Formats: sequence, C-alpha cells, structure tokens
Amino acid sequence: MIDLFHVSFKYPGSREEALRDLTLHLEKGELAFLTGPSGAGKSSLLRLIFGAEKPSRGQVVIAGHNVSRLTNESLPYLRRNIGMVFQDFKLLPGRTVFDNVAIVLEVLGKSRSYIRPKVLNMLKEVGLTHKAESLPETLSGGEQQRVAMARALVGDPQILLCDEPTGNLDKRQAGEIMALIKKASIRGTTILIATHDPTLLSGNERLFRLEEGRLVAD
Amino acid sequence: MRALKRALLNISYNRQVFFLNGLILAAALMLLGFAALALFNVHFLTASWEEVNNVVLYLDNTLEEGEQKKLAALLKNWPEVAEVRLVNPETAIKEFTQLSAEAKELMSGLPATIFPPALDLTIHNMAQDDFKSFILKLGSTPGLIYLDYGQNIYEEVGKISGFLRVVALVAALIIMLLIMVIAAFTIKVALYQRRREIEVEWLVGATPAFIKMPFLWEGGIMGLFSGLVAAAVFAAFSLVAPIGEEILATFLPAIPIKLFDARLCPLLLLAGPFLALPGTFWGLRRVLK
Ligand SMILES: Nc1ncnc2c1ncn2[C@@H]1O[C@H](COP(=O)(O)OP(=O)(O)O)[C@@H](O)[C@H]1O
Ligand SMILES: [Mg+2]
Repeated sequence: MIDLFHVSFKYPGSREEALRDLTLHLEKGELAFLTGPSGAGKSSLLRLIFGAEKPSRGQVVIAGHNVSRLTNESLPYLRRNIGMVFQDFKLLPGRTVFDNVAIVLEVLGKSRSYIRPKVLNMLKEVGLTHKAESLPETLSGGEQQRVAMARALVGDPQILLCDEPTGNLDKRQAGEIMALIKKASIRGTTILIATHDPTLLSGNERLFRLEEGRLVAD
Repeated sequence: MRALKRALLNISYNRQVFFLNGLILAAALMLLGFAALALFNVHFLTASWEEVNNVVLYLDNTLEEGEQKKLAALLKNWPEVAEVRLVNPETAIKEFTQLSAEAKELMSGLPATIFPPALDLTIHNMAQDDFKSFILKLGSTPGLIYLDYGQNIYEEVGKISGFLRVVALVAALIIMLLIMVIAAFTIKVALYQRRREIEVEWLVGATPAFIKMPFLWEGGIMGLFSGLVAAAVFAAFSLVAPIGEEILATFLPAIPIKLFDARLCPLLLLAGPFLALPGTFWGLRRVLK
C-alpha cells in the first residue's frame, strides 16, 4: 500500500537532504509508527506519501500511484485514498465543524443527502455531535484534533497519515485520539503515525525510526 | 451547478467588491463602445462615399471612331457603370469654349484635335475598396492614355479614414486588454481572499477544475453584469443621440456623424463575458502554486 524504494528528498533551495536513501514498505491494514527527534524528517516523509512533495531520487508508490509521475490533475485521485491529519490541523476558520468535515465529500461531488448522515455519523464517532455547528476556533486543541481526525476519516480512505496527532494534548485526550486510530486500524485502514512521543507506543505495532533523514530501525 | 451555487454565494458575501469591479468593467466597456462607434462611423463614411461618381477615360488619338464606340458599349455593360458618354475632340472643344469667354479666347487658333477623344463614365456609388479595384480594372482598357477620377480627393479621404480606423482599432484593443487585466486582477483578489479554502480543498482531493470552476462562474457573471450595465447606458444614450447628431450636423454639414448604432447594445452585452472570461482564465493560471 505504501512503498518507498531508495528515496532521497531535498527541499528546493536547501543544501541538506531531508530524507536519505530510504526504503520502506507498509502492507494494507498495517499500523506503523514513525519516530525520531524533531527535524529527523518525519513530516517530510508524510508529505512525500501525500504527494505534496516529489522525491529527488528513488520511487514512491502509494496505492498504485507513482508519486513522481503525478500531475496537478492526477494528484487529487491519490489524495482521495489518503486521510491526512496535519500537525496544524488546517481547519477552515469561519466554517462550522460540520462544514469542515463535509468538504471532503463535497469535493467528490456527493449529494447533500449522502453527505449529511455520513458527516453526522463521523462526528458522533469522534464525540463531537454537540459541536457540529460550532466554529473550530472556539474549540479546544483536543476537539480540533478530533475534527481533523473526522475529516481525515469521513471519506473512508485506504490510508491514514497522522503528523504528531497527540502533540499538544494531555494524556486523556491523547488516549481518545489513539482509540480512534485503533478503531480505523481494525477496519483495515493502513496507518502511519509520525510522533516524537514514545509513550504512544504500545509495543506491538511496527516502528520506524528516523534520524537525520535516515531510517535507523524497523 | 454546485460551482454556480458557490459562485453566487461568494458574490453575495462580497457584494461591494463585485459591484465595484463590475462597474469599473462597465466603464471600460463603455469606452470600448465609443471606439466601436468611431469604427462604425469611419466605415459608414467610406462605405457611402459619394465624392466620386464620375470617371473620365482619355483615349489615344489614333483609336478609330468605330473602336471608340465599341469600347463605350463594352463599358456600358459593366455593373459599376451607369452611363457612358463618348466625347469626341470636337465636342470637347465646343463644350470647353462654351464655359467662358476666356476659354473661348484660349482656344482660338488651336487645332481642333487639342483634346483627345474621351469616355465620360457616370458610375454607381460603391465602397472605397470596390472603387479601388474598379479603377484598376479600368486601367487596363485598350487605348487608354489617362484616367481622371479626382485622385486627390479620393486619396485624401482614404488616408484620413484609414488613420481614424487604425486609431480606433488600437484604442479598442487597448481597452479590451484593460478589461481582461481588470477581470484577472479581480479574480486574483478573490483567490487571495479564499486562499485557505482553496488550500484545504486541494489537500482533501479537489481537482484543479473543481477549484477553478466557481471562479470562472464569478468572472463570467461579473462580465455579464458589466455588459448589461454598459448596454443599458448606451440604450439610454440612444434617446439623446439624435439631438447630438443634429447639433454636430450644424458644425459639420458635410460629414454625417452617428452618435449611436443599434449594434452597440448586443455587442457590449457579449463583450462583457467574452472579455472577462479570458481574463479570469489568465488570473487563475497559477492557483495551485
Ligand atoms: N519547507 C521546508 N523547506 C526547507 N527545509 C525544510 C522544510 N521543511 C522542513 N525542512 C527541513 O527538513 C528537515 C526535516 O524536517 P521535518 O520533516 O519537518 O522533520 P520532523 O517532522 O521529523 O520534525 C529539517 O532539517 C527541516 O529543517
Ligand atoms: Mg514534523
């Protein structure tokens, strides 16, 4: 589902490579953690999988899409297979929680009658039914994180990517988020979570460790 | 349809900006209307140009009378020619001496064949370009030595109208470009206002077409709105145009100037969206960068 072969990546204008000769495979339904110190390249790796960046060398193949060959026209069809939880959430201020989640399905051209129950059901799953008409800027960090999670999962993606999903949360909130992730995993979603927080690991998931752009442990 | 709905929503959120830009575009369209009016006038002037309705072909002296008559009959059959009069040297002298006493004096003692035989053609009104090719065609008449068709006036009018046409065309092109630039700029502002929304749509898998479509609608609707305003203003102007034309006619009786043309209204109505849309396309070209 997620295949990287000898991938190197350098941001344009930067001298150091953010990722170096990285090879990694994730099967369908696998749950994996990506750890490493800040600046190791975790976010960069997720951006490559998400098609936001293209590898300088090597191949990135995600759900059958070769990222190097994607154009602006074909990239959306990769992204429709991926739910991404951004470190900064990227929620739309001034739009209700409902609208923020619904945007994923609107982009697919789904009808209003399809979208409404689907979104409400998703909000129920993340425990935000009562906040459906609230604006994201009025929510707590943990609630915003759950909105982002709901948006990532509402389209039933094959792949879920989370960048520091428990970054600013307390232990209880982090636990709630992890429970949501586990639930998605049980449904067969392939999941990769970038985190520098070792307390999230329960020991039986796959674990990749990045240091200075290199994969040092699998 | 969803894109149209979103476009209408966005327009209603930004009513003031929409109306302001629409009115600026309408003002530019009105300028375009005046340039078109100038072009219509130039065209009207040259098309109905009545200055030349008489052409004289001076013929070779050695051409025999029978051949002159044959030539006259031939030319009479041309569609451009209304009438042909054969003027032999004697008639020419007679007509010339009848003009005045001085003319008569001038002619006394000169041979009777001082004037060559001539064919005096009366021609139908025709457009300047048609006249030009008619003159060329006449130029190859056998036995012709000189063609007199008021060359000076003809060329002067041709030059002036040609110059006016170029000025009006250049002005029209500049205004059209300006309209496209305004439309592009308007869309760029709208893109900037909604950059977060575009970013999120892009991140969750919207296609470029999905993202651009509402903006295209917006540009088209704004173009249509400005076209409507400009056409309405010109339609209102048509009510006072005859008064202006009368006033102009007292100053320039020789040149009929039209201040309104019925083609202007549909022209401006179409020009609005047809110019705003390419401008919008132009403004949208780097959305995803
Ligand atoms: N947009 C960018 N432009 C240039 N360099 C960047 C950019 N984003 C990250 N980097 C660099 O790439 C390296 C990896 O960053 P990142 O992937 O964000 O690490 P992590 O998520 O593990 O903290 C760092 O050295 C960082 O400075
Ligand atoms: Mg990071």
